[in-house]
Amino acid sequence: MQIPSTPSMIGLQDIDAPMELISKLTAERLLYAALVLLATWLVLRGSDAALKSLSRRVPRARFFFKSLSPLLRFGLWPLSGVIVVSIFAPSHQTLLAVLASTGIALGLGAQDLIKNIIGGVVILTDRPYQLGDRVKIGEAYGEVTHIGLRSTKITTPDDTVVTIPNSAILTGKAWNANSGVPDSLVVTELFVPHDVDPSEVIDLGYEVAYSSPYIRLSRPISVLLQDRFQDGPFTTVRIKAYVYDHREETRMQSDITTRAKAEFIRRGILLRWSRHDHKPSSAALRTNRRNEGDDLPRIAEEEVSADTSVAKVY
Amino acid sequence: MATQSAEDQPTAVEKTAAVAGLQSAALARYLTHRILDALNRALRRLQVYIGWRKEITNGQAELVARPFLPAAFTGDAAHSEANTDYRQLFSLDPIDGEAVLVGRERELNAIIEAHDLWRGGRPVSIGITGQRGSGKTSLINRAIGRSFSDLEVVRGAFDERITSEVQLRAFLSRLIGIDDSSQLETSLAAQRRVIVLEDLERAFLRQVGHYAAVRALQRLIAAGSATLWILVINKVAFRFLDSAVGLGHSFSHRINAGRVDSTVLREAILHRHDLSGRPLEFSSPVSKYKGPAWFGAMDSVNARPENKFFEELAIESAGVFRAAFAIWLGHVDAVNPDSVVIRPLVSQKVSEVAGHLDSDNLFALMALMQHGSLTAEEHATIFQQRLTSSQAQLDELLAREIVQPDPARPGFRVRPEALRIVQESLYHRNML
Repeated sequence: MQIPSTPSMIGLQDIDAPMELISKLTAERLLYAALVLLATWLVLRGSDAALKSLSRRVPRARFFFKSLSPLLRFGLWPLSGVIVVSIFAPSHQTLLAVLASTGIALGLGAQDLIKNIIGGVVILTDRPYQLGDRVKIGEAYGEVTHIGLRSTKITTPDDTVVTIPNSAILTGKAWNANSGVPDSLVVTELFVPHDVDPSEVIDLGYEVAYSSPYIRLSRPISVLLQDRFQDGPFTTVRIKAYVYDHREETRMQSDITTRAKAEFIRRGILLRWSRHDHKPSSAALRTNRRNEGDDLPRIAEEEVSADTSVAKVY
Repeated sequence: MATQSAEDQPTAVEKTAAVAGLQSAALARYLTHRILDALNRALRRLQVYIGWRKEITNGQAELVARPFLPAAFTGDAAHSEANTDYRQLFSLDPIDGEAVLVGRERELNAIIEAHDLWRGGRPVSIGITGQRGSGKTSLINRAIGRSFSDLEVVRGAFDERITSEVQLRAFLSRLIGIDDSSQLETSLAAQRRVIVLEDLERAFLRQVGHYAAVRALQRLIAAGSATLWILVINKVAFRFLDSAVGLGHSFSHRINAGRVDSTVLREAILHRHDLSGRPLEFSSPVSKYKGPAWFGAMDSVNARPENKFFEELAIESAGVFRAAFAIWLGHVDAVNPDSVVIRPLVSQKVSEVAGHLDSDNLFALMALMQHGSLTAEEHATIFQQRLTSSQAQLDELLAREIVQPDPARPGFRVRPEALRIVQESLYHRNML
């Protein structure tokens, strides 16, 4: 069975659609259509600004306000499209012909665009993530700052914007760290000598986590140890705790690392490591030097090397 | 000289047409001017937007004023007409007698019930939680006066910050009158007594290695049933210690003496006011409503001024007695020989004050609420920063009128009138 795919095959060959359309393109109608599109754009800009303002005032409720933004976008643009079509008021046959032609053109040349729009609808209905969530899609990790008709924009912790086509959600995986609430799980990994007293380190891990001001107290904390081997034996301490706002994820990791490292040094745990055959990390050495004769209890943030804390999303 | 004939004179219609023409021309000129002006502004904005032109800032916008707490909320005597005698009726210190204590019957019964269980030989420990100034100490005073008169009651408060087990044992030994703190357990087991410990929030610091005193206290509570422990702690501190060291598990009874509703606040305030012997007058709030009268009748502004005042008071004070008394005094308009006039309490927009608090401010405020009050040294220990930085941060909060020097102890505390702002700010940022 042959599938009809062109206007002539679906019986629209007698319609003089281009001529009819051209006759309807009067200056007045074009002006009205432009005004409708401009009004839609202004309404969306205004609503975006208002929702952003509300989100800033009450960060806890920002997910609700931000979730309205893509809904408005996906609702108003199609509505304005319908109004524009009604302004030109094409006949049914002309409309069908235009739709068929557009469908063929899109089918041949802009499949990806259609996929992306469908992906956008899937994002709105299935809600794998929403504006403000901390997600990982493919290689990109960061906060969702825009969900548009075609693409999703993610701002990484390094303040770089990554644009991901919405179609990626149809076939790929998306990891969401918080799903519409501000707090999210943060894992901080620390490394200690393999011969430490496990119960001492676990107790210390809990105290360090609870002492961090970034912690979300109502959520559980767990401290896990694991022996590993890489150029020698060592033990990994994984502190799993919730941060009160996922935007503070890296600051919380740094804070926990700083507090833990200061206590490790005070108890001689890192120094004991340096007496082993294995070299201590450069960060540990710098930290030791800084604390000699220094009345500053804090270890500066920039001295915490990136390899002492690893962000992971669950 | 030629004279104009009557036919040359413009008719009324012609005059009207001429006036209309002139007015139309003026209107057209005005509209053209406005349209051109708007286009010019739009063009300038576009130029700024694309980076062609630098944004011209309004000179007035350079003046950025930090928002302050409303004057009536600072509880400052300068903003209140209440005289000293009237102020004394609303003393913020805990009260001993039952004469002016209002409400808390349910909480009082819970303490007596727990006390009866303890008399029956059960191991009982009571935790009383609530915001600072919510009447916890007054509640204990009342319970002791009513039911514990035949018992040895030892009362103490953590006036100084203690964080180690040694400090706690020394403190308790002094409290029960023994010299050797190693004999503490023996002494506690030897005699049945009630030990009331207040301000437990001062028995830890939120820093690694500074929870030992609370943990030691938990062990002592679990060790025997000879002592009826009554521990008093503010709610935010309890929430933290319950998460960090499981403090809630140490109590057989936990009594929430937190916020009260507008009815209890009203009763408490009017009870104290009645001691002045003067009638009370509430000024009516000025209604800003301009719509139809029938609709305005439904407007809450038109409710009885007294009802409206106490409804707002319950919101602004977060249901805490101390804050409510301070706000009440701040709204005394006049103390006349024959009456006391109260000005209307208008709900304040605190979002501006709250919006100017950054993360570091909020962390500091959270720490102040968790620890009751903090010195700069303690703040520096908690946040692992220089003493000068901590001092500067606390001074900034002091300048914002969010905190004040603790009248009873060294350091700073959140001022009661700012409690709602602080709580709302912390809640909005998901910190509370």
